[in-house]
Amino acid sequence: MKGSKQYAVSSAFQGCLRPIALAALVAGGFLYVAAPVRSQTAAGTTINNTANATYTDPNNPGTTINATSNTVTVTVVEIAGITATPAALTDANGGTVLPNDILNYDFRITNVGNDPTRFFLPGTASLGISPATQGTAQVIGFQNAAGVFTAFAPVNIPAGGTTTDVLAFTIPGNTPGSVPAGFSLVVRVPVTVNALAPAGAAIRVQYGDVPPNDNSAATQNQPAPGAPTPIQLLTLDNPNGAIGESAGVLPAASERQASVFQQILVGSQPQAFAAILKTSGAYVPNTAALTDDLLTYNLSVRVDPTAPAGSVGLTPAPLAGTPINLGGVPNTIRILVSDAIPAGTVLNAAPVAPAGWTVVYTTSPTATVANAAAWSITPPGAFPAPTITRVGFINDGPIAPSATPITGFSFQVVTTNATGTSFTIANIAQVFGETDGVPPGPNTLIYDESGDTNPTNVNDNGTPGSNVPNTGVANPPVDGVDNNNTNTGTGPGGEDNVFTIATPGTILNGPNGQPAAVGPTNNNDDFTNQSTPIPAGTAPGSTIDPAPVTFTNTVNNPAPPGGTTLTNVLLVPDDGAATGTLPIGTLVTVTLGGTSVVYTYNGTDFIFTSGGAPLLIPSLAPSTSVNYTVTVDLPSGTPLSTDTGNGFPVPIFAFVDTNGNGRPDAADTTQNATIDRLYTGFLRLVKEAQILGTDGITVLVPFTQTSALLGPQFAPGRFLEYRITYTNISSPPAGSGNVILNANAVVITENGVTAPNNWALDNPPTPDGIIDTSNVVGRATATSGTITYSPAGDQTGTTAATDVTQYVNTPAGTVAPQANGTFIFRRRFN
Amino acid sequence: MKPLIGRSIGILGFLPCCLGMLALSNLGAAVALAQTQAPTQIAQRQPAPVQLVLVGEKQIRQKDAEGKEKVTWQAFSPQSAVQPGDVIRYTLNSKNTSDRPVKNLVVTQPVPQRTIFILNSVTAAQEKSIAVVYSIDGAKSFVEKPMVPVKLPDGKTVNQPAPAQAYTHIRWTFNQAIPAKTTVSVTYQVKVR
Repeated sequence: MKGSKQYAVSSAFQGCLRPIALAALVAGGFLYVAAPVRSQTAAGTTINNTANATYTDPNNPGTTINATSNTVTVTVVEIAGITATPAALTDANGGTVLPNDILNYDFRITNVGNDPTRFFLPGTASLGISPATQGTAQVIGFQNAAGVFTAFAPVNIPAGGTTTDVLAFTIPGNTPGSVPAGFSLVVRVPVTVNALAPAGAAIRVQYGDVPPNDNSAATQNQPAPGAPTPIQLLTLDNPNGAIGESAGVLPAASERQASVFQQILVGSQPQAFAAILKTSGAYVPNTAALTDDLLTYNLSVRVDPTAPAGSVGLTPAPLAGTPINLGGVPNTIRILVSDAIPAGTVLNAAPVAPAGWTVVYTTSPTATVANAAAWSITPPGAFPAPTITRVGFINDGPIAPSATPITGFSFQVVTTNATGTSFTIANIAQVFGETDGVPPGPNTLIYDESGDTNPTNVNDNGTPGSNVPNTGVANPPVDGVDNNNTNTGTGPGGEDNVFTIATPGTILNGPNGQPAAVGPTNNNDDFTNQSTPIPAGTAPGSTIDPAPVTFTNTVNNPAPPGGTTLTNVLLVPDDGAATGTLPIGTLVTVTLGGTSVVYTYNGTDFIFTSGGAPLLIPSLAPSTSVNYTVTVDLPSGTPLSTDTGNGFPVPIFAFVDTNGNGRPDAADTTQNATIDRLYTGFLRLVKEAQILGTDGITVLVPFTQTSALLGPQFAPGRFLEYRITYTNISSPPAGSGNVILNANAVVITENGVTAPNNWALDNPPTPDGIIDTSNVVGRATATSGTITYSPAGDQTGTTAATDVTQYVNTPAGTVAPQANGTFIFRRRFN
Repeated sequence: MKPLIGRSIGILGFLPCCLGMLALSNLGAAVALAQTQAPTQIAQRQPAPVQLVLVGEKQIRQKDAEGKEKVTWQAFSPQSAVQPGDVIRYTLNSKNTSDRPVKNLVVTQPVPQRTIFILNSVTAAQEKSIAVVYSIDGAKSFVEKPMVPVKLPDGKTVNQPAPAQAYTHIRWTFNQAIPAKTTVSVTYQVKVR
């Protein structure tokens, strides 16, 4: 078998078989090693004995007289005998035993009686708690009394077991299924290792059942039980007339049984766990202009000595190089750290590399992924170098796993192309390599992105992430943000390092911890989305009086230490020039420290209602942030956002009121807004139905919400198909630092027996013991996730107990803003 | 086939009667007399002086009420059968039917085909006067302690006691005369292969 690995197995069955550890691999061809079976006297043999003597008659002492006795004869009867011993254990695809591998457990079943016999062969082995599932057991060949193996076309053994006389094999010279004394059958039990089998788990396959099932003599050639189970391995006497069979009936009590087991441990696969980390270092603002600021990034690289928590079946290995294009030479093997120069900036000077690493540059477009770009150790020109799209650091490798990170990578950019009065610089770094000892192949790349501490892009729960590289151009709405630039980001892949620069006197106001957040347009329409709770059973078209919801915002003075302190900063809600969509009577409470100020919305303005005076921050020092809360209480009669498709935005301004009118207007140059947007529900559910003809295909009434169209088309034999469409109507991600609404843990329950639903009931005016509609099996579909059926699975019947009265769809993961999905199930009119 | 040595004249009708314990014998013991010097003796109708009767028994092991193992012997009958592994005890009774002592009685027993001799299972009725020797070469030679050469792992060859499966024959030599009308018994055990 090409590529398979054979595990050497002793045929001795006198002692317990030790589990075969990974290290005990023996490559080579098949050897069913077995000591030749000692032959016993064949049934029907006669044993004869005659005695002889000589003596002398004293009267004739010279003459020797002979005497011969009678002959004693006895016949040897038939006995049954069976042993079961390990023959081989093979990993069908070679190498280490890993999840999803197929292992072939081969067992030798030997007739150690003195007459040809049949066997009862179980079709099901005992796996105990092994993380594996069994395939179809087969008889794959036989061995003669000298141990010589002959294969034949494998014969399947049914799962419940069978006697050998009905299986399609014949040992030459014998009746089909009959095994002569001293001969053996080889039975193969294939087993598939489960996908999540942990390294070190034992996969123990036992064939037959004779306690203590430990391969000792007590499990061999034991009396067969009076009432055997389908997993017990037994002899069964041949009927008279089988070739070589001695005449007579062997009593059932004389049959024999045996059991045998083999075991192997799940191994683990080596993999390098490489992590790249980035922090922003020194920042030099230079002049008031934004276009001459200098920002230094620092990188570090780890090759972890332990696998991340939650990972399965992986052993940390050194990080080796991967093929890159270096100096015009393709497939140069190097470990590569790459960092795309952030948008709006230019590489200002030669980067710094730690010992053993070399700085490289590329001018390849960023659309080309870094490990396909053309790298060179020579910069294309003098610094600042605007044509350089990425900087890199290369190492020959391999780098052994170590608890100590490699530090000392740094590079500096200048904000030549920054725009506006405040500008966000987003950046992410990447590392590329291979697992040492694993030849580079289509899926072997070791790849990590900065912004979190997970190596090799492993997910937060330890499961493997994607190793398909991104371009490395930071895109905060997609990548996520490493909020404090401390490599503590969460979510798949890496997260962006985000650094905001601003002209002196600038103020920043934004979602919690994200004062520099930028919305779809600029940093004045950054937003935080939240939703009020919605009572169950609130139908579309309803209005509600929602409970108040509190938002947390952050105001920040972005000036560097030693810069300008902002004084007398006001925090107020204001619509600005836009006409709001807030309901009249909305109450907005802004709270800072222990002080709250309440405003009431009158349709055009927020009217100061109570609290003394507008909230004031007397002094906001450079590089200082302050949190405040905004509580929004929508009035009664508020429509559902799932009907309107919109939330209710409350813009909050932080500003220095230079003209003293208490409102942020054009004269107040130091101002910044953020939007606290409240939704009254954000997952819209729409239910429609269609009617299909009795063929299940012809659409008689297409999907509609209008009951009047459906009723006339009800008829027995036709089909009623419900479609539930769910949509997250909240605003999509944009810019950076905004807080969006994902719908988590969505569960859609369709119950046909609880009012007002009645499609699984037997309704008047014709209660006839048959429910009005019945489930159509296999016709429930969902865009995502699982469907479960109550009371008892996807069945169909005419009563609630035998049909489906409730369907539940649980979409997987979250339903993101603007995402949607459907859930469809079909009923037949009775 | 029972060897008929010598000829018997006029005494063919005298077959020794089978004793009660004989099982499945398909021939009466054939006893041959060598021709004697005295013609008158030949003409006499005399029974053979020594009659050999061979008996076979199967060993039965049972546990008694207290769980102790009890060994009994079950005589062969026409329905007897043995399994591989069973132990058979053969008893040879040599009866001096004459009225004078018989000297130099030598009894030879084979280890039957498909059985293995059980070492040290030989008995004799009068041990001191009986020499017991064994053959491992098909009765060509007999010694008291058969040895076989064995090659050791270091290459040296030493003589070691022969294993049980090498034994082919047992021979008892009675050094004292068997008195008249006396029966002597010897037994040995074998195991069915």
